[in-house]
Amino acid sequence: MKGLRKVLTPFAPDQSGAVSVLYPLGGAVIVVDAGGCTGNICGFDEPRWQHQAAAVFSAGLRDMDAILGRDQLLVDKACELAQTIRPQFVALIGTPVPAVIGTDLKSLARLIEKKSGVPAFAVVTNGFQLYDKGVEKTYLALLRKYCKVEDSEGAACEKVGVLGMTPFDVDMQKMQPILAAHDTWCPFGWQPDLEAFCQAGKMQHNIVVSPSGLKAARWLKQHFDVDYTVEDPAAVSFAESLSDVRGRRILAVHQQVALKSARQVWLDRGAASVTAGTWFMNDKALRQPGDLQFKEEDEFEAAAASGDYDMIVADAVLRPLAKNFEGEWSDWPYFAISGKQIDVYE
Amino acid sequence: MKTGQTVSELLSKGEKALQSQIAETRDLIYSSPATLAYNSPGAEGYGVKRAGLAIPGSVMLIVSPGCCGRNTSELSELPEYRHRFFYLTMDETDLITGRHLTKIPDAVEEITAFLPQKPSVVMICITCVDALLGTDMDRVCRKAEKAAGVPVRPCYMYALTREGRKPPMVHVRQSLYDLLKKRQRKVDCVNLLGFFNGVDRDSELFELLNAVGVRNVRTLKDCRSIEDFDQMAEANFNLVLNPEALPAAEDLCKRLNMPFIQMNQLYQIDKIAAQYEALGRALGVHFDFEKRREQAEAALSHLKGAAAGWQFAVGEVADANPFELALALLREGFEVKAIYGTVISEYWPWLTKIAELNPGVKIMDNTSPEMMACRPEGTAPTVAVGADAAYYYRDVPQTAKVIWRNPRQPFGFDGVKKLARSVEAAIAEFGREGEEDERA
Repeated sequence: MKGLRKVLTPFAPDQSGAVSVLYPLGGAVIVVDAGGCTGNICGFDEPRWQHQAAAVFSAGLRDMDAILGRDQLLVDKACELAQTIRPQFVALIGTPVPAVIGTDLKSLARLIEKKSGVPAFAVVTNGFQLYDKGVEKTYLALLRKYCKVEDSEGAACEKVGVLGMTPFDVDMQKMQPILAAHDTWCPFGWQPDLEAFCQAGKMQHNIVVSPSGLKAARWLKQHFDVDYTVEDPAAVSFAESLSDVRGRRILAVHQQVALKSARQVWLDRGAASVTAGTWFMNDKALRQPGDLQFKEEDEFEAAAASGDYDMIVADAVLRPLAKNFEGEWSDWPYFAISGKQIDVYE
Repeated sequence: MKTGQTVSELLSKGEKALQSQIAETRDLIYSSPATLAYNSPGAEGYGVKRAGLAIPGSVMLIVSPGCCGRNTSELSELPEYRHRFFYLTMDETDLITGRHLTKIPDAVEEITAFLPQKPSVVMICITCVDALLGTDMDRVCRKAEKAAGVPVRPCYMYALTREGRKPPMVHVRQSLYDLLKKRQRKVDCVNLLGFFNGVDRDSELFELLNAVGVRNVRTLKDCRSIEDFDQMAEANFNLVLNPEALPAAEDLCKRLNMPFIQMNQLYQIDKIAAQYEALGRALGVHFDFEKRREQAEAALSHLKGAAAGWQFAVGEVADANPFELALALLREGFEVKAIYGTVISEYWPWLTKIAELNPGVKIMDNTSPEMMACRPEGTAPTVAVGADAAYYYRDVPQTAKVIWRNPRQPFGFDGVKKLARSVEAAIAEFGREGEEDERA
């Protein structure tokens, strides 16, 4: 049945993706929910939360707020907060509740900014979509807010922007040494550097490490003529760690940019074929003929059982769906699917 | 930024100024590890999802946008919940058309066919979205029950109604006990309602009930099969140990003619005794609890020696009401520096007594935005009781941490005794670590 999951649990939602970009930037992030979404985002989807405090709040909506549409209450609460803690910005993050009652989050953000004097914007997520959509919307919201033509005039800076790098997309542990080796790299939303968004139009070029960063890269190309390349160095390092791929027909499941980077490594090392499968964004520019888009459990089950592959490289939680697969399974952790195995602090 | 206020400052504003348990939330809720249990009760303890699966052999279908089921991944890996959660994820079209509701009976059928054994009950968990859509889930459940041939019950994970008259954790208990069917009641059977993780079997409560002829003291936690659960309908009466189970007890009283008596998890020795005396009067029996009371008093007396020079910070993420526990500690002569807990007007009597004993006790509201700046003051050695207090004191050197979240709920004199011993052990552990550091 469409939409029914008997084995897998739901993947990271858009609201979690939005918070993952904003988390280190020093703003006040207000999740417009009753509390449960905030609990899910922080308690499950944000690996930095246990160790690195950030100003994340739940709007604490109650039934009467939703029924009576008491938006002013939220504006007042946000303004009071903005006056008290003086954050760099106030961001409103959408969840299913405002989506159902049709809250105009963008207008509320404008009211908050006007009343408090603190920059405010909204990321209109709704909890129905997946994390990459939330990341994409947040990059665009931040760029539209902070990346202005006047700030981008003059000589280009020495930095290389990195887009699409969130704890969902890349292995935080594997990414740390890569970042350390490239001190000119400036990953947007990865560290406490809101200024990077102001300077985004002056970057040397951008590297897109996951499809969630593509739209922002295209926006920067269109408005500021900043070129971009698409590659995931952490995926390259992972792909190189697989011992023997010669002659193998591989089905790999992850996000598209990671798959593109890994595919190249495996093909160079003699793999017979590499089919990329994803549950997430499927950008036309990155798609190869024969690549797979999964939505339902049985689609992956059928692919695994098809006999077309003798090696599957995917997150371990997908393995129970491959009960009729007779080849070799290799784990490729993906936080957005399993919510674990990538924790830089462990 | 100023954090918290003293109990006397709080009382000076008057009882009406305190947020009532059923009033609306007034502030934004700060998200920190100390408030995870508030925002997402199931993340650490029993939320609606875990509670809804309290009946042996039951499974749950979560009908919601993907975001609501996300953290269930963690729960699904625990052996007792493996293959018990299923999801019918809604999309935006479902939201507009409500078509997800028509899929539920088919989904329940497909799940029952998928499982090797027919589930004892299928719980349908719905969330804020359906609360707003006004879904008649009872009707949907009846339809699903007819289609699949198994009992189907709703449970409402409506965070929107958390401070309402019927919050989710109240309703889920009603849904569960609604499955009990009328049976011949037996005089030697009693149910303990309220705690999903059961009650510590070392508690004198069991021994006292046994002594007056109650041979079967049942809890939901101890039911190993659906037959065990069905036997709960034989109880002569219910003891309600957590107010969240009161509406369920009232339902059972109306439906199965099963009376109930309320008791509370307390740490004040005299109040525990008074509670047993009141229960004895209601049942027309005398409970001989002196020996257990003396044991608790002895443990406290011993702790006084061990904890000389220590002060307490009491949190709400623990098996205790932080205000009652703080009062109990103050009455025993301990110094309480701070209480981390959400104040509601129902706690007014405890607050006034705390103020009489020490008007300077700081009250910190975990959910308040000002807790972002919360740093414990002073350098005195502190016992931090509760996961939230331990969180705030995580970087404070002289701290003995007592998380006080037990596999089963402590109760009565035995709870006092065990808490005293846990505190003593934490202080001793702190001392040992200090000695090792010095040697190093």
